[in-house]
Amino acid sequence: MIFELAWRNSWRQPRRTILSSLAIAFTSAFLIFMPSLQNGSYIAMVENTLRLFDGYAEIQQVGYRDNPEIRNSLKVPDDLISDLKKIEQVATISQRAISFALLASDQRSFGAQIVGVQSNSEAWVSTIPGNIKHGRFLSTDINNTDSSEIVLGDVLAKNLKVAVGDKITLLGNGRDGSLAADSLTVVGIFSTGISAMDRLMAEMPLQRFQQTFSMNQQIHSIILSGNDIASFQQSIKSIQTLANKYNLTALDWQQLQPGLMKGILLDISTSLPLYIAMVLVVTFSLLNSVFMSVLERTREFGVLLSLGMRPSNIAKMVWIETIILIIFGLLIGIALGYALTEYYAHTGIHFAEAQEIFKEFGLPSAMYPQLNWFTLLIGPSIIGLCILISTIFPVVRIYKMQPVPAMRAV
Amino acid sequence: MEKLKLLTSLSWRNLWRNYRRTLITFSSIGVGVWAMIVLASLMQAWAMSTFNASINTLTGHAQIHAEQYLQDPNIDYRLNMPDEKQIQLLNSNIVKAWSVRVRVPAIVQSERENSPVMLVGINPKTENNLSFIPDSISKGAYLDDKSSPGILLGKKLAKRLRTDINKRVVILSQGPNGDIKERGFRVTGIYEVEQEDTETQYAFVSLGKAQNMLTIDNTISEISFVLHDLTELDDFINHYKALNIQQKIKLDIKSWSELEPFTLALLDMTSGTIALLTVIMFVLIAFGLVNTLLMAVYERTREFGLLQALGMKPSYILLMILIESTFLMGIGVIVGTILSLSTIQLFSDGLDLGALAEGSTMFGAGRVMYPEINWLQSSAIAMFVWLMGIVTSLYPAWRASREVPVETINKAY
Repeated sequence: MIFELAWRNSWRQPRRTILSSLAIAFTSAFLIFMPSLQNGSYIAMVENTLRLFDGYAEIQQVGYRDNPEIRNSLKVPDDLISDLKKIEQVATISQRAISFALLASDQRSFGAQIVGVQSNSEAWVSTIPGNIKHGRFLSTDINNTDSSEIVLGDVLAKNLKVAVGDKITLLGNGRDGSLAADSLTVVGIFSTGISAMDRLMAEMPLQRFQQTFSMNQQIHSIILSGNDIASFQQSIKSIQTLANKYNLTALDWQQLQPGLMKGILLDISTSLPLYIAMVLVVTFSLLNSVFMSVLERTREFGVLLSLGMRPSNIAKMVWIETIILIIFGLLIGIALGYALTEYYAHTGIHFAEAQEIFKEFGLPSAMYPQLNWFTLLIGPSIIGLCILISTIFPVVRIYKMQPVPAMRAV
Repeated sequence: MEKLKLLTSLSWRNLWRNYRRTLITFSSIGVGVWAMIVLASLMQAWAMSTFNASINTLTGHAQIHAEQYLQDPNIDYRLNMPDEKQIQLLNSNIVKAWSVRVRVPAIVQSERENSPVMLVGINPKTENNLSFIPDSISKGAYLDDKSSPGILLGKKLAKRLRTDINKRVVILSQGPNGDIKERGFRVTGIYEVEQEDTETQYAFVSLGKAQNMLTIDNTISEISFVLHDLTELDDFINHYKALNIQQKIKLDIKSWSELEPFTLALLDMTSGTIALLTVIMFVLIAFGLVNTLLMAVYERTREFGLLQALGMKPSYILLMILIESTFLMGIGVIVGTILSLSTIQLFSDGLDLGALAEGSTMFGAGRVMYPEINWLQSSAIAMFVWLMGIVTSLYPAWRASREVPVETINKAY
């Protein structure tokens, strides 16, 4: 009976009920959409940044990360690659060697980071091969050590005043301290949008690199990649154990890009105050609405009390009224938030003007919100909970009512 | 006028007939406005931090180069030292600091390693107030004068090169004829900045030694300057261009917004986000406000009927409700604004991002944010919420004024 009373009470003032529910609905829809958008952009940012060059994890000589010297190289243990391949989440493996050297064209010379890559597997761990703007990527015949190919970042190529087909000279120091010199042909020019890479990086075949820099078959990094970072992370422990077995170290994505996780945490902690404020505003406005509905019925409650209804039952009625309001609002809000998020998850939100910024942070110019159970339910549940808690105030008021003065109240 | 006064005092009293409702509404508006202004100020501080970092990292408010230099930052494109007339302009009192530099790509070699670097020849004295260099030396000393022999390296680069103070490094760079120039420098200082990229990007030597090594006589790559007041930048640039035309020299003078489009885009995006969030927050406040006012109107239906029966014009009732909402919004907005300004004041000594700082420097901003009270922005947010609140209350006010006297007086509760 109390539920029926509460239900009818809710519709005595349909306008108020609808407005209050809409306030809840609007806030919960927003609190579903925004976290989903953030979630989507974080995933995109992490994926794009890692896929660009670093891969999901790297195996290196202990200490190479802090001291990326050419001497800190490793000889790939015979069983390591086959052991790594046995790990289900590791989809691709590629090897690299890295050094700094001077690149000189006919007219110019510039310093560059030279990366020796396995051209047949590099495309699976890095998006640089896919970002070739002119020419092509290194040919995939890795055993051909005669291949004198090199690809350059577009700013580097512009600075050197070279185009596809031009010859450049490489001058650096080999692993044993000897002079490393080579003459290479530019076969491709890539553009990643990350200025440091386009300005500084050049890639050449690993075999040729090892010859030129007297690497003696050694490399600097084994790059691992998988289908997506979330599922790949499940395997990180076994990769680390495996690396330790060979006295090597495995770096996960947070070690490879230490700023990235902190950047995400920073973004979350700057948006939290906004969300908290929104929940507070909607809670206050709902508290107001429930308070009013109690106060304006003082006379009515007095009558109910004098007819023998217990205060606890009246309180229960008000609770149920509030819960009806919340459920009604949350249902609309979740439906709205879900529809909005799913819609934009398909079409994407396009930021044509902010393209430059997004590129620099490794984001595409369109953002796709990603919905999951957490982002769908966390906002609405907090809103519902806060409103329920605030209903304590009007309910306390009911317990204080005395039948006779209440009936006389205007 | 008399009537307005009457309506105002009526509205004021109406507000306090139900003080609880009024207070809760205040809180709701206040929290909303508070959050908006504080958040806007934090975002602004963050954007400013990015802006300052970018200005301090050699950009300045504007730079002057030879015409092709920016497309192709090469030794071939050089400037003569500014002549008397240019110096006169640069020394005018709106310019805070200016300096000339040589800037060429180079390779730095230590005994162990080598790395590409941008070699910058600076006049150590005039870099004060202009760039980060004088204030960022963490080990050793800054350069003394135009012909100091040493080199300053970034901490991260020094580590990568496994070199340190008092050790020697060799700089290789291309001279004007395409030949490779080479010279040894003793590391006399290590600088440390928040953006690690900068630490590996630049090595600083004195202007004289750079010119000497590159055999470019007394020519330079760029002039950089900052003004006291950024709003005068466009005027100043136009003056400079006019002088160049008069002197018949072709120079390329570009402001920070052209040199750093990325920073400009970031600033634009920040203001856009602030505006968007203000609107969203307002919509939320509006729901609460309309609800409160509608309730206030409905429960007073009889009263409005009575007022009309006594001869009060419907338009006065409308006005009365509008004044009520002006008070309601106004006090909430003012309280929220005052609270937010004191919150910002609390952080004005700097808000250390602590553990999150690494994320902040990744986005090109600093470790410590300095939120400032931005009167223009705060009052814009406050006025927007206030005015839109009054507009929103038109609906409940209009409903109230449409009550038909006899029907409403007879209406029973």
